[in-house]
Amino acid sequence: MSIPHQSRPLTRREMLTRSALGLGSIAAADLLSQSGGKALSADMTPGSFLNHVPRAKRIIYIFLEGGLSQLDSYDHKPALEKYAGKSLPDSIRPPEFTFAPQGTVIPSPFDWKHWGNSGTFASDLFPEVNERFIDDLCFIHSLNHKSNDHVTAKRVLHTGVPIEIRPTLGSWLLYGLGSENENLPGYLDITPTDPNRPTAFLPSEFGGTAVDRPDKKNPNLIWENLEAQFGDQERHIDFIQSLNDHYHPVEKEISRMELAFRMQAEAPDLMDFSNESTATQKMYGIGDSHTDEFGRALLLARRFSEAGVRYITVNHATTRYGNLWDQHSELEKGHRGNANAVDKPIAALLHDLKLRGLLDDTLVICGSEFGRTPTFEFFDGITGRHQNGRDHNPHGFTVWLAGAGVKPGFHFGETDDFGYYATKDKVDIHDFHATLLHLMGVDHEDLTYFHGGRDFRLTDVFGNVVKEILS
Amino acid sequence: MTSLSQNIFLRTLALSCAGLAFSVQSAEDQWEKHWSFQKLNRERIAEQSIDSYIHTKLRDKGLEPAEKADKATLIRRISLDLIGLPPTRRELNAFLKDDSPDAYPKLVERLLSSPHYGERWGRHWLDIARYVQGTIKVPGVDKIDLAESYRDYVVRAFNEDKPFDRFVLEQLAGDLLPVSGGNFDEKVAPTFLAIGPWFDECTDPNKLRLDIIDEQISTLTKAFLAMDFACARCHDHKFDPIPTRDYYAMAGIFRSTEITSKFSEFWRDGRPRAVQELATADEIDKKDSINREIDTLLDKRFQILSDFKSSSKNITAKITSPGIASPREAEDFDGQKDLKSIPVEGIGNALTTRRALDQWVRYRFPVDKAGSYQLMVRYASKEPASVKLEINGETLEKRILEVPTFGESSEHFIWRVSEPFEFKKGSNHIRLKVDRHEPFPLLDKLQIIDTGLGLEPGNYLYADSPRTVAEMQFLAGGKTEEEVNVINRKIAELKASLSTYPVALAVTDQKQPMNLPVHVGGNTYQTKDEDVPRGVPGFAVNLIDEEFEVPAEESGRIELAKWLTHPANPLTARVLANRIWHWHFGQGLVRTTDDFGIQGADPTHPELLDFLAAELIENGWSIKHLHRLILLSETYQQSSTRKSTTQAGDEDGALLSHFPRRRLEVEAIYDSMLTSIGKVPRQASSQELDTSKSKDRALYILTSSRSPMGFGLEIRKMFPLFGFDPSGRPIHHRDRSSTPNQALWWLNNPLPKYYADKLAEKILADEKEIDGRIDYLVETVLGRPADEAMRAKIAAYVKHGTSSQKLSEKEAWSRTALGLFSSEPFSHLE
Repeated sequence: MSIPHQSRPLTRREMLTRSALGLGSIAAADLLSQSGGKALSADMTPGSFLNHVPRAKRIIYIFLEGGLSQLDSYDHKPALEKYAGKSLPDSIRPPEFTFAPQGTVIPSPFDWKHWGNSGTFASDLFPEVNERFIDDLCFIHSLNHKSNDHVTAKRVLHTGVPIEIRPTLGSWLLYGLGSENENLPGYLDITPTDPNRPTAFLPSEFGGTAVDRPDKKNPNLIWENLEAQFGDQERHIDFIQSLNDHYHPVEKEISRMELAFRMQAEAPDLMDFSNESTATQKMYGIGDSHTDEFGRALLLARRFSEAGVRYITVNHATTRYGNLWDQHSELEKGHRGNANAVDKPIAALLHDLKLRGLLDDTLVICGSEFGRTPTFEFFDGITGRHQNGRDHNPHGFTVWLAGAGVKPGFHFGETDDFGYYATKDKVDIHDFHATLLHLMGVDHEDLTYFHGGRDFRLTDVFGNVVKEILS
Repeated sequence: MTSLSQNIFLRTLALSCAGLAFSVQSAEDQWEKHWSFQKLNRERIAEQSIDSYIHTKLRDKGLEPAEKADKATLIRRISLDLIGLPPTRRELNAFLKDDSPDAYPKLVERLLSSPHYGERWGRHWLDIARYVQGTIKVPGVDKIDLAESYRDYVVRAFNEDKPFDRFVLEQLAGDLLPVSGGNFDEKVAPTFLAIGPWFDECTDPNKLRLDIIDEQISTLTKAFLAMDFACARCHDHKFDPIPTRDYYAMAGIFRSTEITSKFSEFWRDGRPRAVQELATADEIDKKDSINREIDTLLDKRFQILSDFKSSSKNITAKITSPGIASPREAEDFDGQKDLKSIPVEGIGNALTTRRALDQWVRYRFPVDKAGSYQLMVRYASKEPASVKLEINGETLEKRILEVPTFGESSEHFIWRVSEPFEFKKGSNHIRLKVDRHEPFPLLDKLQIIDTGLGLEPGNYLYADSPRTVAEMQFLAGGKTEEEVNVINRKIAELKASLSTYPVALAVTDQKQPMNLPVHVGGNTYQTKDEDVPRGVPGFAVNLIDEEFEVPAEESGRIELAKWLTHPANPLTARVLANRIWHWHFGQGLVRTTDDFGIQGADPTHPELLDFLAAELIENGWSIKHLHRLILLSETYQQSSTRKSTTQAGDEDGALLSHFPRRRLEVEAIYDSMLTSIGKVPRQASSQELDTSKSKDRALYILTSSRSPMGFGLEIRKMFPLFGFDPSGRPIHHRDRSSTPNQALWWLNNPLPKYYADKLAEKILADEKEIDGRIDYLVETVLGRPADEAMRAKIAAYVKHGTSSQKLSEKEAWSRTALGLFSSEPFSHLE
């Protein structure tokens, strides 16, 4: 792959990015280990927040939008059988807020068993992932926050706060670490459901770049205009840059323009699957109608990840199997259909990363904006009463991590007997974010941005690194 | 880290307010104290002005305002801000030369009275009103976009500086007011209520009706009050003082308002949206009376033919036994698109249209031997239908069922015989097809006959079935035929005399207004026993000392509009003043222009907001009055560069220590390219807008069919790329984010290159010397004179093109122009 801009003098940030990370994080990591993990720099220069030897160089965040039920996947609660059809006992605190009155307890409709050498007790919702990789997964069963509706819960998961518009974890990482591959955006949103997630006070160069459909040949692809229409665009961009500097020296648009220029050199190849073997494509489920879309998304994630994109979210948000993962009704059918669409591709991704040695420095995360309640809800406001679905539950839910820096086959945190509230080793969203930043070599207390008269942090004034899950 | 810890307390507090859980008691306390629900502070101190509020706050923070912007920056800023177009070279140079002290005030007045002002500021309102070009087409009624007349109304309202209270009243209840002018403003304005997005997933008409009401309530409460009442459909609002009861009091108002002509599960195709003709009452009466006359004649003709039918039992049919092959019921098709089967009394099921797009039905006829055949179709149609007949993919007849039978009941069916065609042995396909928006006739039966019968193509009777009235027309002779022909001629004459008028969406009061009960949890079918009387929300009842009783025979929309614009309503004027500020400065005094509730942002300058709101009310709700106050302020005229870059604070300009620089909306970016090649002739100030001269502008381009050859699709794709949201939902903030996709677009998309090419041609034709060419380019594209450094940059790039890259002069200038288009000084308001 040619990088057609070698002749141009480097900008200040490029120098910085390249010297700190671009020449390979290995060099930086070496330097760090020699210096005993002391911070390289403490100022607020973008890309300068690497604080210690990173365990993970990149993150792929598989986001199952709508709310995967922890009670039907990885958090087994025998009490649900015993209390089926009954109300929750008084010992379980009633929630501070629900959209509808609580119904009675419903047991999990799935089959549960022990998997792998770790003997993890899990349902058969994700058979391929469980069969082949359960011993690689590191579970947090006690993630919790306070946002009951999808919009604010998703904001909490991605930005740490429910209402205000703040930068996402991906934007913070990009701001803190810079891009590993200067030909590509450092932060990708594959099949996004909230396009143009704003960067809030962070400069927009740290925003995610959306990839609508992960297939070069698909006409709906957002990345259009990738083919250079005339020669010597390097000089053309320099000209534009000199115009931008003319009245109002700012760097933002330059980097957008430069990035665009480099993207057109590298991205088209990455989006073209033709050099992937048929076996690989098949492994990801490409070509099978129910796994095709997500299989493509994850294969694309692997390819971009391999090429050095630091933070990639892959959203699974189809309404083909009910309303996303939001099964207020028909839990079994909806969750089964959704899981069938993602199970094989996720297993393929883990396998592929392992095979390529990428899982050593890539962190894969899988989870939703919240989990679900042990009970059905009395109304959902529109279609009346359901006794075969679950309501939203942000008070204690499960996510798993795999790969770089986390303990394999490990379980952390517990919920109560009904899987409603996190009770032991609780991990709140700031702890979670602090841990992810830590794995990426950043101290969450150092990663600040001065705006509106004060320093802002992803973790606000909270957050403790969950050391127990680190390998 | 110290600044962080100082903020711990404050932010912990903010977080707990923002969390979803807090008790009702604390909510009520919050409502009582919440700033936007308080009485408007209308007390005046003589020296109050926008600048005094802004400067006081800056001083408090130890900041200074920026220098005054230079004149070139000012004219470009105010031109783009007020009319969405950069100044022309002539305007720029005239302003730079004008040293008189009133040069700037004169400029303000010229632009405020420009007919292009409404095109810019009307678009701002159209975002709030969720208008999107080309979404409200009603197929079969008309091919035009029925919301266009509303768009033009909004543009006109802004140009006329229509008082905002009147603007609200017209949009909510214009149909209940007398018509006051030739533009039918009152009839068009309520389109505001009728252009909501399609509810294409709803198949339950009862729920659909409530969904429409919900969409109307949500849109208007957000537009005028910056609060979304829609939450209260299912439960009392979680944060703001909006009980479910208030919601259903308003819902009753809109349940008593009609925007559809009927409710149907086929809502998707748009037909049920009610339409009206824009004509005077006299004109409509006249048209109605002609239509009544036609109806009478049709009845008469039917009567004559019915009488004839009953008196002519012995007439022999034109065809006896036709040697039928393969008789087929119409609904036994092999394939179809957008058709459906409906029962017709007397004949069983018949096939008809959904009138969506192209419609067709295909039949498979296996025959034992190859040979010549004809098709017989039994059909009925109210109007001539252009049905194409295809045999095995080849078009045989373009208008096979052209003869209308004037009705669709069982008495109107008739047989048609086609021209002969060849069938091969085995399977053959016959397809009947009509183009989009054309009527599809009602089909009953089809059959294939052998050409050996010797039938000429045409309409026929069939001996074995009872004859219909429609068929009688072919049998009637003598006196009956003469009578029928007289009637037919008369009908044709009357139809020719009918005038046609522009069509718009119609909003009307239902004949019997009704109240709605609270729907428990928003459930369509579960209601409380008692109806909630129609009425206005009760949340500011302590401030508004007036009763708004809804008359029994009216929906109550007039009362709602009057309540909204009551001078004591604490929200409407504040919300509008804040929007105007937001549109001038790119950010509101209240950042959340669509949320003044508990969860919204607090105003940065509460006293200034109240000052502006009070000015608005006291000056007859004149928006242009507010423009003058703002545009003539020092705050507006300051530079976008901060006084000293070492001065910390207010980087984003929230405190107005400098003019907040921002990217322009896509319309202004597109129009700026367009106008660089002279495509938007400037219309004189104080004249009425001539839209025929403006149709190339972004505001009209998607519906005016005026995009440059082959670029319609590119323009459609450009709009969302630069923050335009075509979803048809209300937009309160345009997305101004800048992305690599935009940069790729500037680099490689053919649309900006097209304008760059045209501009290069113009420059080369009009100016012979390099200096003149650079002046032309920079003044036209960047709206300012070229300084020496700029000259050097451009000359170097042109030279690089012609010498290093061996480009033609035109291409070198075109790339240079493209470079200027792609630059920030072009797409940003400085």
